[in-house]
Amino acid sequence: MKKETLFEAGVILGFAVLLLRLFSIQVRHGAEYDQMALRNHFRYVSIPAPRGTIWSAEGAMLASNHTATDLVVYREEMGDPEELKRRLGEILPYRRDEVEARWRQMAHTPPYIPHIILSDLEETEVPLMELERVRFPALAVSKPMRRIYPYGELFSHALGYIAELSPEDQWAVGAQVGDWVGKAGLERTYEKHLRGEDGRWAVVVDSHERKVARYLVRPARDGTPLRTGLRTALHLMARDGFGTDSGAAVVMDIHSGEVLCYYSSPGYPAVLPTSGPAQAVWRQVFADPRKPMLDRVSQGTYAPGSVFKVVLAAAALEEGVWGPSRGVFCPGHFQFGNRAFRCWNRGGHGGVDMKRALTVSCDVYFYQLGLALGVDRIHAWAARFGMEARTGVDLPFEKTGLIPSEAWSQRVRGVPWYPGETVSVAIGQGPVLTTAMKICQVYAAIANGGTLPVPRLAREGEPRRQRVEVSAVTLAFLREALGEVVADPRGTAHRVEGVPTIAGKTGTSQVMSEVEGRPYTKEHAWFAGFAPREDPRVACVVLREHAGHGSVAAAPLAAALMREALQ
Amino acid sequence: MSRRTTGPVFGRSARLRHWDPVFFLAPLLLNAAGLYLIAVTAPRALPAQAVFTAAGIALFTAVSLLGHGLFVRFSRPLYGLFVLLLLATLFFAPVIAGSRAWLVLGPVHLQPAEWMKPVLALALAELYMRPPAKLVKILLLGIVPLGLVLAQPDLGTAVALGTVLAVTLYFQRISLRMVVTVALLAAFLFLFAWLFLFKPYQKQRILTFLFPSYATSHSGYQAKQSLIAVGSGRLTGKGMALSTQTQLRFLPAQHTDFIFATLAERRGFLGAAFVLGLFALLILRMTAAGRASPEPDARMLAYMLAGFFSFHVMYNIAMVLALVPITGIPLPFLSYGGSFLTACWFSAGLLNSLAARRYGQYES
Repeated sequence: MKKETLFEAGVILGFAVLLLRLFSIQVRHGAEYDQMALRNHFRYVSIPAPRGTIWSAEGAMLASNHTATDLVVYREEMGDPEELKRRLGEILPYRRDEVEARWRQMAHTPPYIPHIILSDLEETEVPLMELERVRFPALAVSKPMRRIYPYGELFSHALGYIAELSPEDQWAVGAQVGDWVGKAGLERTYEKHLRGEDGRWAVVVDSHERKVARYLVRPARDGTPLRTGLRTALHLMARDGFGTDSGAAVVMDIHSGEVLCYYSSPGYPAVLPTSGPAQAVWRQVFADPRKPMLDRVSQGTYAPGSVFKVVLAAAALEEGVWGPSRGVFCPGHFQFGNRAFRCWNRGGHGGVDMKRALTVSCDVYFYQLGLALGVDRIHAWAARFGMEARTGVDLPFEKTGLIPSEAWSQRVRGVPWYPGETVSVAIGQGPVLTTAMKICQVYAAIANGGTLPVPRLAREGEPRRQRVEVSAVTLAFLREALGEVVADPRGTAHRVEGVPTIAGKTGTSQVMSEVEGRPYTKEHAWFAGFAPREDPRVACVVLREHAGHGSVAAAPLAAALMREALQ
Repeated sequence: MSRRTTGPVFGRSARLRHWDPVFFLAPLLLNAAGLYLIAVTAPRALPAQAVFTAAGIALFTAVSLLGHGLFVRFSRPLYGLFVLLLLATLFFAPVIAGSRAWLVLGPVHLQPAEWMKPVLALALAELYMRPPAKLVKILLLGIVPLGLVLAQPDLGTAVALGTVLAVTLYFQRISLRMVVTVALLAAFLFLFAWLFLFKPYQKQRILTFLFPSYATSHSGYQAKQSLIAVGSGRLTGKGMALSTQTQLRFLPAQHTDFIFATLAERRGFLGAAFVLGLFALLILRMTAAGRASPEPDARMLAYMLAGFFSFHVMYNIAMVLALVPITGIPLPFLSYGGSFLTACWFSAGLLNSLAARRYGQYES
């Protein structure tokens, strides 16, 4: 009997162990296994949110999304992949390379996500593909959203572009690697505003990663539209004005800081860096010696030339160094030490006072004024006009200029300041550097009575401005003198006189650069001004590289832009 | 009681009146649960399993009416027949999943090894009609089918047959020396089998069991998915729609060897424990019938069948709960498969008759 009892005890013990084990797995650790079961069969797929559109002041769409037509394959449905590939090569022999390239990438896409095999189908190709779907159920036409810029390169530097977020770009909060995010321009500054929020599908997959069902976890929330003050008419005018020349044109409202025109020539093509053909376009852009990717409005730094003279005039009046009526005789050159500095007018301007010196842009007058002020006082007054700081324009990567001083020379160059350099600085040459955007802001401050408006392309947030500590009398004097530049028959910009009246200053800055290995010294042409003369509303800067004199190469375009802006 | 009663000496009416409720109702409930689980996981296998169920119940009724004694007396020819069938599988059966286990006779696919288990029990019980049963005969009867099944090779079934043999040996009066000899022999056999007989996947299963970190292969995956299925069922189960482990086919063999995991996922701890309880009740009822049986052959038969069921139930569930290596051991009455289901019903019939036998004696 003992053996029978032992047998039964063994059976009972065995069942007790199993029951305990069952309890442990299902009741004690059940929640953990439940989580594992969920992870087993849920995959998350994002639904891209349509990016916010960008609008011009007249209501033209500058950036939008269009529905592209892609050919995709559902690998779950795929029969013989080789046969499908061969057939695609037969129907569209000219796209065989693209099919091959994309086919190789297929292994990187999970099977429950349709894989793009041809992007941007032509309208004629769509019906051909629809026919093939009868034989190849794995084929499908998908309609994803793509960013487009209907005006092409016209707004490229203002709008920027978008690209896939790379692992290094951690600045775009909330975006994931692979998302399309703004890389430059407004697309970058207003990334959060424009992006919206991607939606999410929860895809239920089986043990072979095949899609069984899907649930909408969160719908996509569209990006917010962005309204700007940019005007297409001004941009078209600027593009035509520049032709093949490089340069920058900017027009802004002197009170609100709203930017009406932000054009850098040449622009770059508005092609997204995706497919094969686009990459060829980008290679061409990067190889272009004119550097189309450089934003010449707020990222290119230049010697300001004569447009800088207003700063010296203001400094002289405010410091009481020279009065407005103090006269200087200009024989066409100025001897300093053993070096002769020439006036642009070799014949000389004769006797000039401050107003006349600005009107005719007399270099000799300003050489002497510069020496009377000294570089540190020039530096101090340039700094008061904000020339050492950024303008704060709502675009990324803005550059600051350089205003030299004795301390700067010691600190950066390690040599004492040489007074002869002050002579150059006085006419905006030498180590002085600034941007077109900054000059525009300074002239806006002169025009509006002493506040630096923070330039804004987008109509977002309240206008910001910064007070300039310059007396109203001095600014009124400068406005009058800048008016004479255009109004006086001897003024350097007299040829652009018309209605509505404008005021401004020409500039011609000497440059040393190389073109195809040879030194090339044709000057950059500047015009900085505002309009209308009596009651200014807009400020404008035109900078044209290697184009010669500001009066000929920059002033007419600036005048045309301001007149168009005031209409 | 001078006359030994081996034949059907009592009336059939008595056996019908003393139809044991446990030996019929417990298998019936388990079989019904199996049909339900097959219906929800592999509906295409359902008609076949329904036919096997009907055949099984018919067999149960027939055996109950004819009496287990008849089968014990004619166990030798039965034994001979199945040894021949096992031999035939070695020569004529197609290789399915690495072994020759299935005899294909037109539409009928027969797995003689499954039937060998109760038949071996009958043949061994027969030895006890004229006690004392000789150890040599016991070993001889056991080793022949064991060797044939190992040659298929089907490790799980061989171990199940070994269990039937082990129960006999357990009740034998054997010396310690004998135990050592047999243990050494078994060890030698195992070594031999490891070197020459086991397929790589069988070795893999054993290694997975011995070294769990080794389990990156398929059997590791299967054990993990089984645990997830069982665990995620929690207390009350996930019901039909949410049983993702089985619905989405993460769990392999969900209507055959791993049907208990399917049950645990859908019906939770409550359902799984209920089925476990039914099995415990059934097996303890078998040992109780053996204990109450006055005849040594019937007693041994009851214990051997109890051993056979215990092994299948416990090993299968332990496998589902990732306690033992995975091998082809189906769950009685629940797993899909005709040969095994009918063999189980046949065994239940023998036990039903055995239990009724007591009442017959009082009548005569």
